[in-house]
Amino acid sequence: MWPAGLSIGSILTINFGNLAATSAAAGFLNEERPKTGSVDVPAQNLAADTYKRYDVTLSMDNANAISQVSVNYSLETFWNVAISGKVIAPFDGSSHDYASPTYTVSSQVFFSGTTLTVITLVQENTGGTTAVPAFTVNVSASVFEAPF
Amino acid sequence: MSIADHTAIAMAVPAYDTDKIIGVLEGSLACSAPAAFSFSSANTTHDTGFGEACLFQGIFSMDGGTTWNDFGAQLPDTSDSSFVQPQTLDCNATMLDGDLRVVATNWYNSVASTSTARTATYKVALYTRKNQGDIERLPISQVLAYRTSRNFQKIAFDDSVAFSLSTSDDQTATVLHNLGYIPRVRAFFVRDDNGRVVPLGFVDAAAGEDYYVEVRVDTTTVTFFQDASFASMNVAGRIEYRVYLDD
Repeated sequence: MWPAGLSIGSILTINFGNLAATSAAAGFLNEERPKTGSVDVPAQNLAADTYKRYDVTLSMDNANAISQVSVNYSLETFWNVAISGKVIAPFDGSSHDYASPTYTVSSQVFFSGTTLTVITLVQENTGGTTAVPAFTVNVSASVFEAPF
Repeated sequence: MSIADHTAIAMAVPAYDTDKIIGVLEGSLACSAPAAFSFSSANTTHDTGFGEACLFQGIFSMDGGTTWNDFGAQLPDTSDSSFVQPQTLDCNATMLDGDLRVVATNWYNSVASTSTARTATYKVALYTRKNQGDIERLPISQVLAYRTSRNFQKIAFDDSVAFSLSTSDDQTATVLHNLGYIPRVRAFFVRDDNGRVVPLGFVDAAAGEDYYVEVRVDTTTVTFFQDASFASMNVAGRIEYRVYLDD
């Protein structure tokens, strides 16, 4: 029952389709589009027990924010979430081989100042020379502000 | 006065839920200079008073708050162009009941042959799990803004799947999201034996624990995968995950 004398002057209709829930406490603010980058790894013969390093750097301000980074190695059809800042993918040629990888691709994610770096190492595993096919390391990163 | 036509009143019912932050903790952990080719570690426990575990996201700094990194970053030293020291300082946490245990690990630099004492300064945002029930949140000094003019990361799917870490059998669990694009995903491992909530990829070198699980995402599916060759523990549990609507 509305109080006496109060009338409804207009009806406010809100398009709720895009609203985040206004629940009891806030979530993680998402007000920036993801940033992407890539680096090409050329076909090569890796010498025994050596590695090559390939970096992707993105300008991102993570002040008072958490980040989420995903990495795609173009030899794979999916993206890898950099869970706890790392991705590890063992290969033999163009396919995964966990039991006896001839080389391992691993990526680590870290910030230095306002630069996000994804450092990818292609590591030879056999103790002999290993052929690595050409592929691309693709990176997608987002930051979400938290009430720190 | 009564409302003549209540069907004409539109109610703003949000279509998607967000993570519900219920507290922020901060602190620091000092790690001694490690022995050669080894590591040192330190840990502390925060009693949140919740009485039960929740989810969390943390950041830490090695330089007193100038640069921050997410928990688990391990902070590789890339200053030597000919070699990478993959780990310098790491900070991460797990949660058991209402206690958040924060662990910092400090590694010897085998490239430069140096041993350095380091302090991890950290901040942790605590947020609720699905169907957590009633929890009185911690006081937060920052403004918790949930005005509809701002966009928060929105939850598309919030659920769990059975998943046990195994050194003898490969483990796979798939979740269909069918969003048509690559979404963001967060995931935690929850142990069956004690309910401890552990971020996937959590490593505690001192305790010999490694919860690395691959999280593969394409335009329709999230796949959690662990090859037995890469496992170091046998632990029964579940993976609690959130697939976010935002890409």
